Amino acid sequence: MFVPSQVLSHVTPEVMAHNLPPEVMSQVLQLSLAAGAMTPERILETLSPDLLAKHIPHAVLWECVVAAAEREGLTKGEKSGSEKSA
Amino acid sequence: MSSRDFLGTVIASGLELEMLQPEDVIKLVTMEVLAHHLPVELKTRLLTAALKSSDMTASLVLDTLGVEGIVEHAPAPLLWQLVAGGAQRALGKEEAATSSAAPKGVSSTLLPAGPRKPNISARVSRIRAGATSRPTASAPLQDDDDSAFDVDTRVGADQPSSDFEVLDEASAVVGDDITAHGKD
Repeated sequence: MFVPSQVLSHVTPEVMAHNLPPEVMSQVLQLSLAAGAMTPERILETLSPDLLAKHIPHAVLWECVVAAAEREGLTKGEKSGSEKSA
Repeated sequence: MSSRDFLGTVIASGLELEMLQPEDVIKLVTMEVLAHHLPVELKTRLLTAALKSSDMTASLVLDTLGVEGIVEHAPAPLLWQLVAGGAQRALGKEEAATSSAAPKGVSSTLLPAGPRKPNISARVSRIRAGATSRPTASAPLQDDDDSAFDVDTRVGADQPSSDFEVLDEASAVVGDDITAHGKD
């Protein structure tokens, strides 16, 4: 349901810069510099779901979840398959 | 001008003249240092630029943050260390270039600071006295009329602490000896 680039469309550089502690930010930067490139996949290698949940504002993370649900067609206004058939 | 202004000027010039490389900067002003010291705006800028670019390199970091950004926020001791490192490398290259083409009478500014070693004077005295034997030579030196040409080999036998030191003092002696033997 999620791909790294979709997560980073919500957990933007500004969000990360504001919220990540220096130790975590340092790891993100060091890993990318060592690898020679910074990619969403590489960032999420460091920013595990635990770290995201710990440091990124939950409102941002919920937006990410809602966006994923919308992409999957699982939003409030749309009925699920079982509800439609009843 | 504050010390940071000075450091900024020196580092910027060093990068422009390629006496400093971006990698030299990032070796000292590491990602850890940047993560701890950069303000949010610069961290945002760096992350944005890194994600947009296909490569993340020291040059990208420097181009994004600018020398001013780094100099303003990085700890001063690191910046001084960066300048000192660049200076040492430059001096090392300069000495290497000079030593490979060292003529007689090399400038004493290349000599290490401090008093000359006493054994130099002793060797000079022997040369002046026209000594025929060397204290620790691998092969005895045949004395000839012109002991001026013995200078280098005599000097080499006593393991000089610095070639420049010996050449510099010996060159003065050679001049005297040539004059003296010319009169004989």
